[in-house]
Amino acid sequence: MVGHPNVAGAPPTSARTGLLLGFGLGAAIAVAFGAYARVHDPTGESVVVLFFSGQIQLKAWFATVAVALALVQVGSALWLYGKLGGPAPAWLGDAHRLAGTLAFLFSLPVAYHCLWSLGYTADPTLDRVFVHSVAGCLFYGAFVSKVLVVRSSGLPGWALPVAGGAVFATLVVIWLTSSFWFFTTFDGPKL
Amino acid sequence: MSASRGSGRPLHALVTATQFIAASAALAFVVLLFVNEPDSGAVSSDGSGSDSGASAAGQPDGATLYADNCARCHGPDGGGAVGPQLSEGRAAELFPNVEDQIAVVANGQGGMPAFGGNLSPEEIQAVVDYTRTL
Repeated sequence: MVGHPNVAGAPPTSARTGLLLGFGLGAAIAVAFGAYARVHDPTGESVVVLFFSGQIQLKAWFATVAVALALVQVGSALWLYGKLGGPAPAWLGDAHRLAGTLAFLFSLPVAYHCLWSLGYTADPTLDRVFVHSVAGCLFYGAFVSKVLVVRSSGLPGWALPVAGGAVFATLVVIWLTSSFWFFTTFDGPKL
Repeated sequence: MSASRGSGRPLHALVTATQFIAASAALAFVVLLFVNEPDSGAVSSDGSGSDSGASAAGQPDGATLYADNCARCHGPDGGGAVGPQLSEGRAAELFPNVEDQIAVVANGQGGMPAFGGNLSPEEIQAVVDYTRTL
């Protein structure tokens, strides 16, 4: 193995390109979201309320559903990769993709209102809102990276867990700084 | 078509359809970010609210500021929702001293978020004055 280009554990050139593309595009998406939210004049208007009592209630519950579906994603991924013991059923891959796609769908109205109506808060003294703004931008970047990584081949084994973990971690931070805060600060989880 | 593949086809078809919907929604999401115009004036990007809630004379418009910042919790008419009722004199009952109400709006209290970083002192004064007329 001496003299082999991968002797130090470095991925081959094609894998490096894939990694750069996946994580680079994700970073660009995150920056683009932040730039839009910073430059766009927030409208302060509600977007869609459905049967909820207000916009904030809809957002809190949609984000909660997204987190629940993300938990399904993490659990099914662990099962698919043999981390839970026992063989994964044939339908689990589709169920995993369905949960992820639905989580993404539930996140869109929430993110839309955040970006279009509220904007990006860059004031670090507003701890919760600042952390929420940063995590919100990072989430969609991580999501794009994860989708690209999962559809690529020949990438290092750590790439997918890192990408998927980043998606889940940012979503949990988003939820803790919004829905959880809302449910525990105001009147509890009411519609 | 084996039996095992056949049993997974409905779920696979559902995944495909959902992914198509998600892709369409993502596209609409991006397009709407740029083409959707607000019904009223927008709040400035620094959160000062100087574009929204300004009357024709350039003075902060308490009603618009209330609609943009307070109505989602206190109700569009101040009747209360997540936040307490402010209408029918409740604001003045809760805060006999108007300065106390201004302080709560600016700094927050309990479940009430602080608006001091988003609204100017003049805007806070205007929205507080407005709540006391509801």
